[in-house]
Amino acid sequence: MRYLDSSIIIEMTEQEDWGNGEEIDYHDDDDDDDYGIVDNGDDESSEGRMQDSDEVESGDDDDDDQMVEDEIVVEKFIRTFNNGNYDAEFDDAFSLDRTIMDRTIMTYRVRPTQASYNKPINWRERNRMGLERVKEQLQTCIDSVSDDKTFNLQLIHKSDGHQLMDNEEPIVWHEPILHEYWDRLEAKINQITPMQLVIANIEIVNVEITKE
Amino acid sequence: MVAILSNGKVTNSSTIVKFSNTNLCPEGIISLSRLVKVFDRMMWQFSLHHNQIDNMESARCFSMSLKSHARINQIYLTHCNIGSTPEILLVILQSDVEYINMNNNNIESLGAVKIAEFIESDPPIKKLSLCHNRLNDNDAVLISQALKRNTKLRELELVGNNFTSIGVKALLSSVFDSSNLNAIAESNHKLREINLLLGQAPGITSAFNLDIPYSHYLRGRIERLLWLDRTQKILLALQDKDSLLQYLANVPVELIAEVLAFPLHRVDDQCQQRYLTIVYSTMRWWNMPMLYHNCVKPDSKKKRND
Repeated sequence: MRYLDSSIIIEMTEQEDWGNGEEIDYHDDDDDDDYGIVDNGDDESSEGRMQDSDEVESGDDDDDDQMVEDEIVVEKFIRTFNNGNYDAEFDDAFSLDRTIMDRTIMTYRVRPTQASYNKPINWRERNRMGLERVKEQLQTCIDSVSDDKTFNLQLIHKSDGHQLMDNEEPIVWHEPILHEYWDRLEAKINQITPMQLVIANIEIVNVEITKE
Repeated sequence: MVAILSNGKVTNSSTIVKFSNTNLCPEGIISLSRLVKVFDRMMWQFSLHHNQIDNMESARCFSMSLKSHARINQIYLTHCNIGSTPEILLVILQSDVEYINMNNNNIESLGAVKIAEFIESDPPIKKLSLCHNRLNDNDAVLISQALKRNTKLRELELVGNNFTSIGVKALLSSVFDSSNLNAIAESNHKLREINLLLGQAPGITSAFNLDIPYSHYLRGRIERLLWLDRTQKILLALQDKDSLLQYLANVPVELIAEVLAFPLHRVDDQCQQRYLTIVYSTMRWWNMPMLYHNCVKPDSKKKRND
């Protein structure tokens, strides 16, 4: 929006004064006041205050100049983006993207897609810590099932952004021991009067769910 | 478990159902789709990240459950390898939701054909994320052509694909093609965001200490381009462009005033300058002062006299 305003203001000024080309005021008076406040009232501070104000005005002029310059850059781009002048710039930007993505992949340890369907040989050992946590979470679910409580089914293992321990997998593999917990949960739900179960959220993250 | 939940036990329902990286089998996805129908009152978001969706029956069941659902408007399907089966991709796209996230799905050119087909059909979707797939410049051209037929999509996320400047220009041209007024009119005027560049996202620019004015970033300039509405695009294209003014010369003189005056129906004092400028430029080219009387509001003349 603004680039059009500014560009046309410039054009109007250069071509002819139509009398209604008042500048848009981008200044924030409150900000100016804040800059000018000095904590004591002697002459020296007053001078300081005046000086600060001048600096602020000067700074705002710089901002305006920068803004106008920016508008020109943007407008020029919009008018000419398809003529080939920006090809190198586009390609440089994509090159930067590839560099960033390569680095991100190197440092991002939880990558379940690649890992989840390829169990390591020692997966049971590496599954131990996660499995215990899932058991605890299932027990919490079981305990929370009642007629008058909101029921959350949340089984979360190392959601995105959490670093894995060296002896952990990015996913908790299903093991038969969990059947017992699921059965107890179902039994508890079955005890509830029909149409009384209140479910807030179902969130299962990085926990393998097998066929029932 | 899912069967029990969907068997008359639920009185209130979940707002979010998220099964992320749970190694769901096709039968699991079908069961979940049935569960979604039960959660009809509150649920609005459905996530199935990191689960393989490679079975047409489960994909159809999933899509149908979303179509018939009253409230779900967002689905998250990253890392589901949907791109490997374009027919499944299309089925899921046609789920009648407002936002679909299909980042990291190995979508290639065959998938791009389906995506273009979907976009061109002008579905109700408002935001589509296709980051980190394998789309190339040819796919960008295909999608850009489809975008010209779309009137509902607001945001398109395409970071991390295999585009070069050719693809970017094709996509931007779908939003602003200033070659002639018809091309501008046929451009997409609803799309407000096309994210193409990861490295120029605000958080990342600061992380990489790229300390230059925002408008100098391509991303910033692209954003500004996408802010333009139809009228602004026409006005911008007309400025200093004799070829377009020449194009206007082919419009019957009686209609010229209306063509130029249409923005004035919604003009305010601030915007009036730009319209006056373009009218002025056009008048110079045509040398027809009568247009001024037709196009300029009386109160602006008064201002000028003041």
